[in-house]
Order: sequence, then C-alpha cells, then structure tokens
Amino acid sequence: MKRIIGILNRIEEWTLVLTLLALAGLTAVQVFCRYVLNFSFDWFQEVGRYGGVFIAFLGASLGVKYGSHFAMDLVYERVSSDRFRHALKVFINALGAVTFLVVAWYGLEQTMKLRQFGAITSALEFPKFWTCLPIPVFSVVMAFRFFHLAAKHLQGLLRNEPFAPGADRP
Amino acid sequence: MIVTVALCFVILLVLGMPIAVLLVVTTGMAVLLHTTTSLLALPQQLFNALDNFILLSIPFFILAGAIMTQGAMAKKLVAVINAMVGPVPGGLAIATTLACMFFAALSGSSPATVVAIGSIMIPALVKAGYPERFSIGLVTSAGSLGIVIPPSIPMILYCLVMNVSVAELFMAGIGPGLLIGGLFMLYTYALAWRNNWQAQERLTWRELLVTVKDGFWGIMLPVIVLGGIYSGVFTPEEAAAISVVYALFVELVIYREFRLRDIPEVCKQAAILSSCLLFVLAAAMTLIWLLTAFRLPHQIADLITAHVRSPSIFLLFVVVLFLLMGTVMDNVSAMLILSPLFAETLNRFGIDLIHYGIIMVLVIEFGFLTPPFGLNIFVAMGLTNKSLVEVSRGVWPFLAILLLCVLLVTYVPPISTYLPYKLLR
Repeated sequence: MKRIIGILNRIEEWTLVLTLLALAGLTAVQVFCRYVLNFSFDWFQEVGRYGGVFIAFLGASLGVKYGSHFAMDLVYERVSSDRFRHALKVFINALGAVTFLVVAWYGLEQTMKLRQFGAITSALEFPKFWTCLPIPVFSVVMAFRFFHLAAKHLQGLLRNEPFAPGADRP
Repeated sequence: MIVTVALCFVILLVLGMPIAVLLVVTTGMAVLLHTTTSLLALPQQLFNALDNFILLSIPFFILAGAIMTQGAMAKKLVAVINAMVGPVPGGLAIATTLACMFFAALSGSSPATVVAIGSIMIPALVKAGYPERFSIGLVTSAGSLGIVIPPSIPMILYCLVMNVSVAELFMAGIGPGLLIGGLFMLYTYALAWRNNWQAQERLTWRELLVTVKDGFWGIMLPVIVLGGIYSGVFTPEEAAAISVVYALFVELVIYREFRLRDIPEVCKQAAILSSCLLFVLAAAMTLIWLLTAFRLPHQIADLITAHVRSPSIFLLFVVVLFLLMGTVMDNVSAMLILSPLFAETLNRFGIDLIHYGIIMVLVIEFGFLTPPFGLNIFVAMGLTNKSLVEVSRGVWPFLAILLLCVLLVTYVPPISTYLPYKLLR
C-alpha cells in the first residue's frame, strides 16, 4: 500500500513538473511562430487556460502533502499543551478533508452535467467535461491527504506524543 | 450572512487552517445557510476563477526566478554593478541596493531576491568591514523591492481580482521602485560618509569590459521582458514563459552552473508554491463572488461615504487597516479578499485602481519586512543564522524610510501613475 502511494506521489510530481515546463515551452514556441513564421495556433489560448486550472489543482493537492499552504500558526506557538495542539490539528485537517470531499462530489456532478450536455470547447472542439475533471480528481486526493494528516495527529493525541512544529512536512 | 462569514473566517483563521481551505469552507457555509443556490456553485466558481490565461504567468515568473536564484545570473549581475559603483563611498552597499533593484526586474518575488542577492552580498559586505546588522538589514529591505519593480507576482494577483491591465500596473511600479531604491541608497551614502566607510578600488577599463560582457546575458532579460511587453511584441504571460525559457537557456548553456538534473526539484518547488498562491486566489474569488451577489461592496461603500468625505482620509484608513491586518494574516491574502470589497468605494471616491494597486503592493512590501508574516525576515534568518530580533533591528531604519515612501506614493499619485498615463493611455 505504502509503495503504491509512493509511486502515485511520484507520478503526480512528475506530471506537475512536465506540464509546467511544457506549457512554458509551448508559449515560447507560439510567440516565435507568430513573429517569425507569421502563423499562430488558434487553440493555444485554450490549452493555456485549462492547463492553468490543471496545474493549480494538482499543485494545491501536493501543497497539502508538503505543508506549503499559507496558514496562521500563531496559536501553535502560544499554546504549550501538546494534546491541545494535536486535537486542533485533527479538527482542522478533518474539516479540510470533509470540505474537499464535498467539493469533489459537486465537482463530479458538474463534470457529469457537462458530459451529458455534450458541451465542447470553442477552439479545440474538445469535450468540455475533461477540462473540469481535475476538480473532482484532485479534490479527492486533497481530501485523502487531509485525512491522512488528521489520522497522524489523532495517533499523536492518543499516544501522547510531543507536537513537533512543521511535523506535517516530510 | 456577513456575521456567518466573518465568524467562520476569523475562528478558522485563528485555529490555523490554511487560508485557501478556510475560504472554501466559509463560502460553502454561507451558500448552505443563507442562499437557495446549490453547492454546485462552489466548483463552478473555483473553475471560473482559474480559467484565465494570464494566471499561468505566476508559475512562470516564480519558476524563472527560482532558476536564476539557483544559477549564476545573480552573481554576474552583482559583479557588473559593483564594478560600476564600487569607487563611491559605501560603494559595495550601494551596489547591493542596485543589484536588488535589478534582480527585482528579473524576478517577481521578494524572498527570491533576498536569497539571490543576500547569499552573495551579505558575506561580501561583512568581509569588506560593513557592520553585520546593517548588511543584513539592507539586503532584507532592498530585496523587498522584488515585488515593486516589475514583473511582480502580487501585481498580477491584484490585476486578476480587480480587472486591471497588468501592463499598466507593472509600469506604475517603476516610479515607486526607483523612489524607494533611491532613498535606500541615499541613506547608505549618508551613513558611509559619516562613518568613513571605504570605497573600493576602481577597475581598469579592460576589467570593466570583461565583467560587463560576462553579465550581458543577465542584463538582457529585463530588456526583453519589459521591452517586449511595452512594445506590444508579447503579452505579460508570454513574457513570463519567455523568461523561463531564456533563464533555462542562459543558465544551462552559457553559465553552466545550473545542471539539467536540478530542473525537476526547482520546478516542483516553484509549481507547488505557485499553485498554493493560485488556490488562495481561486478561493478568495469564490468568496468575493458570493459577497458581491449580496451587494456587500455597495453596502461598504454606502457606509464609508456616509462617514468619510475625502478620498485622502479613506486612503489613510486603508493603509492603516492593512498595516494592522498584516499582524494577523499575510497581506497578499488580505489584499485578495479586501480589495474587491473596496472596489465600489474606490469608484465613488474617484481613486484610480492603478494608484490603489500600487499602494497595496507597497503595503504588502511593508508586511514582508515585519513579523509575524515577514517572509523576507525569515529568509534572511535562514541565510544568516541570526535571530528574528537581530534581523528586525537591522531592518527598522529601512522600514522607517519605506513608511515614508508609502505615504508619499499614497498622497502624490503621479509617482506611480505618471508613466502609465503618459505612455499607455
């Protein structure tokens, strides 16, 4: 199980890196084509836009894993009780997990709707539901990661482990 | 409705929930409790907020900055600038400020500027006999110009939530950037003159030529990026992509200190960081969409115009509000949430959104230099192994200068608006 998750994580990270580099390269090539070859792809804007949505959701889900989402952690510095800090983290992460399950659920509904209506994008004439799919998929992944963090802190709470600041970062 | 939103927001913020998540929770709660709309609106709004081509410029600019920070570009730039101003009293310190300003024109982020210039210049300054506290304070503060001098990530974010032209806002940052940098240099010069700090030896013309030739590739980047945007050759997001490709090319092929195998790690870090920013943006825009549907910006405008008559008092109020907000949350998130709420008020007072945007950027810059969210201070602490108090002590004289600049830019609009009005309208 752990190995599968590890492999999935790596796939996620490489997808992120390659998508970002590909989009940067593509944009540069596009500018080159427009000025030097006098030719521009009409589908390019669309790829850029949906690529942005994809990157934002994928990266935000990885951001949970690396603890890089901005938060105010003043309370964790002021309170000295380890149990209290663990309990707070359990609550925050569980709430995060539930929230993103809800977002994933409605995101899926939205995707299904688009699929049913057979909506297509204007330039590529590509089924539009594909562009929406990153929302449910990565929301589920994000929810899973929040659950994982909540479980970790619950364990810490029950076993009375010390609370290490930045422990959520690998 | 407002009570639900405010309560939910404040409680979750204090409990330490990530801002992006708490914004989604807050919006979801408000939609559930106070509207008949389905929660289907939540993913729809998140999607709409992100469905914008210019968003991609944020990861691109962050990535380009990260590549240049890891590579040799900063070092070469420092060498060129130092060769030019070294012979002035306090020359090395003045060169530091100039190098920060120049690197700010390459990258759109303040912490990146502190890392890139600080890792080279702090040891160099200390070695040349400058007081350590002053050296750290100088780099930490001058590095914050990274977001004032274009390109700038917070400026792009502001343009997205407020529907303003990125090119215009970028141009409006040049004046204030030069003003702040100029005052920093003036202060340094005065200190150098009083304390009799040594000037460096002048280089021969031949040495100067070699240094400039070496730094040529770095110097060209802002010319390409800003020149490209303002001559209309490409849009800001295209400029961002080109700076990624250019930085990769220069670092990999010409300077060769950055290796091919460094790419995945740098790229991953930059992409995750920018995604977190984009997610805060999307979540904030979702909350704003809801609040606007409830006509909150209009209510705020009614309330403020009933009590405040003059735009200048309103602007003072905004500056003070953000300086206070900066003590409980990071100013970038505060700007994303509050600016659209003030949009109607700004409209009624006739305040230019470009001018207001620059004030926001300066307030964010101020926040970078003050705890508890002073990113620059943390970066400097990491670079030098000094405590928060020590770094802050070095920063405060510059902070005083910066506050003066915030007020100047607020009450003398032409500092920011002259260039874009003259050249772009």
